[in-house]
Amino acid sequence: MKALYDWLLSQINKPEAYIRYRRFSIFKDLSSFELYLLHSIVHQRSFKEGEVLFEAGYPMEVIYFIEQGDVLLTNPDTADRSHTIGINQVLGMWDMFCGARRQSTASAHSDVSALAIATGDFWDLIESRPRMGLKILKATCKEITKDALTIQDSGK
Amino acid sequence: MNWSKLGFYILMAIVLIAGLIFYRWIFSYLIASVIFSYILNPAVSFLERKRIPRWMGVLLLYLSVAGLIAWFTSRYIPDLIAQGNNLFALLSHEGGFDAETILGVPFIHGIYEYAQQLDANVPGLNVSAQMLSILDNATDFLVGLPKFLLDNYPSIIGAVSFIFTIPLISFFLLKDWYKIRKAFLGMASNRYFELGIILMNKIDHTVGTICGPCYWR
Repeated sequence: MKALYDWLLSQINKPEAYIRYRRFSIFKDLSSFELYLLHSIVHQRSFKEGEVLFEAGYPMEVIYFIEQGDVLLTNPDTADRSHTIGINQVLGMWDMFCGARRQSTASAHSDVSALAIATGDFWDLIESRPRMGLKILKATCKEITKDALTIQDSGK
Repeated sequence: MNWSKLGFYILMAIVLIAGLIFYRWIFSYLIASVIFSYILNPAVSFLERKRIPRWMGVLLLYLSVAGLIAWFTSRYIPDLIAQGNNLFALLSHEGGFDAETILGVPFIHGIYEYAQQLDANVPGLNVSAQMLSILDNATDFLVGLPKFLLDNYPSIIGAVSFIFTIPLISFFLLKDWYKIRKAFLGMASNRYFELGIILMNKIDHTVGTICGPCYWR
């Protein structure tokens, strides 16, 4: 009877199997159940070294969360300047708020393993669970501010 | 050109096409199940966000629908039984079963009288004659119904199996909705992954608009 009760409880609360998503700063405040909901829209992708993840000017459909490897970002307008996105960082977050098109080209600097989330699914999830959405958006703001400060410091 | 490889591909294509033709009846089941799943998916997803597992959500929805049908049947079953008895009485009426016999039913007789009034008021309308003709056709159909059922029992069994199989397939489609989506997108190479997402969203949007419940939007 207790085993049945435990099983039912695990079905409702969801096991801690999705805890790995907390390694990404924008998901670190989510509960195990919220991570389970997130898991339903996450796609696992892998890229070989040199492979292009996306190109500037193309429609923005997916954001990537780098699990392994490095990604080189280059802007066609400032080709001499590029920067690298590494483990546990998010790729495409700025683009998500900057319009419907990619601002830069991303290519795998080494073999890359990444989690991909379609922006449509991401917004649907945020809208369907506002409390969860608020946690994600707060963390996203922090992350963007941190990036902006880093860029500002490097420009000085 | 590698002839053995080409031969293998041709053979595989023939096997695939033959399989598709041989099992073509499955597609109607699959398409109906997918449409049924699209109709129920918003409700299942809503329950999932309320911490009800998808399989439990689907079962709850099925039970609700079954409960609704049961309630409806129990609410109207006495009337249905009474009307069924009337029908059997009509069918076993001495001297045959014809339009005149059906006209004996008070409700239909009332309509017939109204039609006669109309004919009296509007010359040349002939509604009562048309009604008698329709009733004659209906009696012919009712008399031939038992034979029709016996002659077409394979199709009737097929229709019943269709009705019972679709919820079963839909159960698994709904339970593993996200897994199936992921599996489809997982097949796409990195080059076409985003295109696949755009296509899937378009399909979702189009099918959802057509089949999705309006109450949900």
